[in-house]
Amino acid sequence: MKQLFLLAQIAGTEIAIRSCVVESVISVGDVVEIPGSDPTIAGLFALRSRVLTLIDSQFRVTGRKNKVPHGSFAVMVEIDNHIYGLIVDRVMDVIQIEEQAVSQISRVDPKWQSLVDNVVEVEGRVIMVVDPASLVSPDYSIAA
Amino acid sequence: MDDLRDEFIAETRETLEILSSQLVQWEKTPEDHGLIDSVFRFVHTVKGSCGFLDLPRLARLSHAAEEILSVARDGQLLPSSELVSAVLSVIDRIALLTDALETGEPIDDNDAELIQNMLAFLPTFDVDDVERADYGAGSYADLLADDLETIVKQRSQTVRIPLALLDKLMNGVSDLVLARNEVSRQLRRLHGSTDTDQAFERLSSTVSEIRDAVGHMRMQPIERLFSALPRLVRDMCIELDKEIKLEIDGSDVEIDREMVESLRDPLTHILRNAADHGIEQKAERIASGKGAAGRIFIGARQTGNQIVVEIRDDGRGIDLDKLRSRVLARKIVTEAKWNSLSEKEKLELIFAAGLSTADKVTAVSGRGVGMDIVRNNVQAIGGTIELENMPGNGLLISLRLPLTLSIIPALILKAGGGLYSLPRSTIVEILSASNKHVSLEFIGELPIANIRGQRLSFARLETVLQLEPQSTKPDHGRTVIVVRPPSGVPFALDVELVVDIEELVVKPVPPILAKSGRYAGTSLPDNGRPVLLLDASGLAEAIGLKDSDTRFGRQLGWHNEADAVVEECVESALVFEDWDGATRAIRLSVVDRMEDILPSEIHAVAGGFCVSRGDELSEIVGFSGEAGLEEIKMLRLSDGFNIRYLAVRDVFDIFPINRLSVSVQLPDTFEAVIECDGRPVELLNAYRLFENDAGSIRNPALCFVEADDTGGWERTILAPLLTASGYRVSFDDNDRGQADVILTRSLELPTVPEKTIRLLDSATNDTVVEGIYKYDRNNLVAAIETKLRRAVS
Repeated sequence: MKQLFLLAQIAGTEIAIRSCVVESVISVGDVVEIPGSDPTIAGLFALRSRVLTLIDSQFRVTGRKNKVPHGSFAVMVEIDNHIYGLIVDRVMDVIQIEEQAVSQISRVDPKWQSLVDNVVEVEGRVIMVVDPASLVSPDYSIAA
Repeated sequence: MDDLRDEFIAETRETLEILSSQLVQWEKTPEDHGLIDSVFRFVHTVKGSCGFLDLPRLARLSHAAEEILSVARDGQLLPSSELVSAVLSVIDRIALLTDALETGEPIDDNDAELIQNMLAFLPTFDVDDVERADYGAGSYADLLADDLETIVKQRSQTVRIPLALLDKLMNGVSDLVLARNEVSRQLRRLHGSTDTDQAFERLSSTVSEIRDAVGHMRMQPIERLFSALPRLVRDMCIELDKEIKLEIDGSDVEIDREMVESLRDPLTHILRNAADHGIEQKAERIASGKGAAGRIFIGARQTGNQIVVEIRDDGRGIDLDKLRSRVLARKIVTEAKWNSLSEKEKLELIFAAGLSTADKVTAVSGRGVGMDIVRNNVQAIGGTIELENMPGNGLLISLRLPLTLSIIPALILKAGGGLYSLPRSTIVEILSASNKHVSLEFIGELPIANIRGQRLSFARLETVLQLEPQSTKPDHGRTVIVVRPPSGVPFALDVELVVDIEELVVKPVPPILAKSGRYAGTSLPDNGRPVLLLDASGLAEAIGLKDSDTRFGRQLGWHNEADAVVEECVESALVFEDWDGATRAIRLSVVDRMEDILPSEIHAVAGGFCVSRGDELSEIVGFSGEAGLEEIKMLRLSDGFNIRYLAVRDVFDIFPINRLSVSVQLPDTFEAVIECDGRPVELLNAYRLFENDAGSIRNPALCFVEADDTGGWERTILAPLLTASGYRVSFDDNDRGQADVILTRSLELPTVPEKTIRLLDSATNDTVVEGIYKYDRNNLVAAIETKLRRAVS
């Protein structure tokens, strides 16, 4: 059975996200900052009448806070009735992958450990599959 | 099939709940014919639905109940405890069968016995009648099968919609509102034609209507939850042989549809506990100096972003010693641990699993499964539960529930370059930081705001939000808001600017954002830029106001003393620049808020002006009509029922009402003269502003004024006084005959002396004729009134 994956880039690394959890990919404009909040949160953004909580995805990997540039791409996901926009460097492709190409990994780069559960093989490259839920809250983190 | 069946079940269940509560009411007030009429109608409805759906067993039961109620309605039967119990047991059976329709479990019982018990109260009861009417025949299993089958064949009037679809609809409508606002902005810039404007207006009002309707789809009055409680308490009273008076308040508070179901069990549990463990037996109550009847109060109210449901009883409260022995016996904590706990923490232990403080297990409660489940249920919907124990005097349990997806009026504030919002219900007062009644004092390093002698904790919003380090001074030009969290003491919050007030649709914040505690929700105001809703309690916590402080001073009575303290504050007045340019003041208590009114929202009608906003049409007072193209500032005044708008040029500040001993020449218009910043300012007579309507109703008396064609003094000086005093004035000789009073300066003998008042040019009465000095206003008005009274009698 084939599965759809979104290929994107976070902190300079190519990653894959299962497309079943992705609602859409949007371009982020005017971001409203939230003072005193968790550093993972990049701010709020209104997509028409819906308010998205933007997640600075690269922060979870690098530990460095980045300002969200105008026109950044965000992957829109809904988790537990809340809508999030996961900021990514760029979005590459949507591809179909055979279920067999998805496999568990025993060892991950410690920086990615809490975010990654699987890897997929795409055209000879091995790409980490990032779990969006673990990005939006440490409570959902895989390592925990 | 499932849908139709569920609908019938839900509808019947709802009807039965209301019915039980009404029946219990009727038992208490048998003379209230409205109640028995209403009970009868309800039973009739149930019977109707059963008959309509062809459910023979349910129909038989409801038909029997209807019969006895019809006799009661005619006054041939008075309610007794036994009668009501018998009717209730039939209603219970109906409820049980309805449940069985859902679960599919057969209930093998004979309805005939219940029906006979009930019908035995009929004055003309005859067992044969019952049998002839075939009330209880047939085996249940067959009939239930019949019932189930017939439901499938029927169609219903309502439609059940999945919540997801409803949410989608709501999102769509929100998009629509934003798009409308954008179009409105574009149109205003383009100065389109009147036709376009009118078409847009129609579109706009339709969109608003749809938004309201969709908003209501999700909400339900909490009454649906409360209506089952009187019955519950009644049954418990009989079972426990206690007398309990149940008071219910705030039934009209609306809560999310989903929440109604989640709250049903916790509320029932708490009420059972209060009636069983809380309220003492009659003898014990009398011995401790209380009334024989116990009181349980259940109230719901919306405070800011929360719904608070309070359950208070005036029973014995929680006995900590008893709790201690239970807790230790069940090994929930060790003795050493118990001793180290604060009183509050000790109370919290009643939420521990498997604990009951009742001496004996009764039929209704005390099985040790209660409060832990209650707390779990409340927490599951994002609520909290708090206890306030008054040993010997009762227990107060407050459930604080989130207000998901509801609309609340909120203030939009600016701080540190960003916009935030704060629920209006948490705001006590808004002052300018440069106001001389606001000063900053320090206790050590801690800033304290002194506002008219009231000392409050002070913090800058920027500091609380960690946008900048602690600031020591309130800058001039900034605004100080006195905020009172839903539970707790007020504090002063210093912000850059108060921008606007808006009705916001608040959505809960994601868990990762909720951790900071400062934000209660997100919202999208009409400008389409997201704004965070600040959590007043979270801010208080961030400032360092501890929970124990917020409890401080709260009394153990039935009323919240914190509320009373604020109401006791000095009366204050809002000082503004009136439409005619004068500086005036108005009592703050009648001012609802300030609004910017578009010229297009102002209409000239019947010689006055009105503001139309939404469905509301309200009179404008103190407005002469020369509106430009700009928005006009108006104070929305309310006496709690009527709305008036007062047009103002500008609003300055709030001052305590400090009367100056200056005699007020126009007591109708001005209540007093007060001191503001060393200057005398007129305080408007609020009564007069609302009274306006009355003037036209009482058909004012007509004063005919004799004057020659020029008549300078009469026309320019006398007439305005008469008009201001509420009389009609005419100079037309044709009106002389029908005038109620004639005023003249002529020294000749009047033709109609009983109606005529002569005005004299000189104060010293040196002429031979009688009259009133023309500038003696009080006597003049008194004389007119005297003439009018004489004319009437």
